[in-house]
Amino acid sequence: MKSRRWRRNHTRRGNGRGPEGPSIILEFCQWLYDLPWVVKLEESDNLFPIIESVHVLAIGLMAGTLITVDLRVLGATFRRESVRRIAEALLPYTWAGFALMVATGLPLFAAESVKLINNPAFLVKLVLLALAGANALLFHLTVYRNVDEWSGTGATPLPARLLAGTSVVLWLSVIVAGRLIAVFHTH
Amino acid sequence: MHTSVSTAIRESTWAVMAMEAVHLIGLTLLCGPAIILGLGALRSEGLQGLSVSTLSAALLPILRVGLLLMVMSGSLIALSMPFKYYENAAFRWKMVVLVLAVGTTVGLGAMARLETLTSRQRGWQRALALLALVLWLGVGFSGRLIGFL
Repeated sequence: MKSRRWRRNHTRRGNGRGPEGPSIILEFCQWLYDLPWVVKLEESDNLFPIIESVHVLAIGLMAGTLITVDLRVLGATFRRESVRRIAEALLPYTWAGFALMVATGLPLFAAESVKLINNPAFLVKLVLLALAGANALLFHLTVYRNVDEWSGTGATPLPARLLAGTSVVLWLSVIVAGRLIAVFHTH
Repeated sequence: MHTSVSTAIRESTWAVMAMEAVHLIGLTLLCGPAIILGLGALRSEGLQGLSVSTLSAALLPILRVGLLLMVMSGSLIALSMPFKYYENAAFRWKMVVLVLAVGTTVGLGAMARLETLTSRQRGWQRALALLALVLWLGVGFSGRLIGFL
């Protein structure tokens, strides 16, 4: 099996400063990285790949169902059903995927935390996640409030279409940034 | 393999990265609809009142776009390093499971177009749905496993 791990002694506790000097974030990551179950996870041959596979599939479920709802808002699919109906049928699966994504993402982060905070793709992914979350919140607080007024007619108002389009672009970017993490990984 | 396409893709890390990005975008478009369609066909009352035929009419086109993106990008990635992939056991399994997953999904789509189903056909539909779900998960896992072998 190909080793995907860096040597632990690269980041041994005690020197207290990384390339960019000591920081509370780095301290936190080091603490996380040194937790016994995290060490076990990182050193396990099977656990890490399994959790990573579940993570990818959870993102597929989350983004796949959310993008389907976005496509309905854009009028590209399920045109005979109202936006509310499709949202209510699919969004529970989006949330299930999201929960699974976070539940698997956190241990993955812990096992590589010291490297990830210096990984540009990871930082970009976090920013994109925050933007995607803000975009979803905006959608729900604004255009979705009066969804019943426009969702049956087929003609989606421009603000709703803009937010749905932004959602598609942001989530696909989150996924691409996630893949790029491995490219910027230093071993 | 010494074709110019193979060499060009292999020698450009950016090209491989772009292919993998397209591959994952395809996965997203395939994964969500495949799971929703599978779950909808598995349940006796459909998904929140959305019938299997409504689900498949709306979701199969999205799923097809995702599959197309995945097959195109995946072929180019495999062509860039044909020997690496040919010798990889997870890759071989993935190809077998992929063919089966596509087959069951096509079957599921064909059954969804039928006007009415007898209870026996309904049973077959649910079995196909379960099989499709398991097979698509298998494609995902074996795909990720390629990189770990």
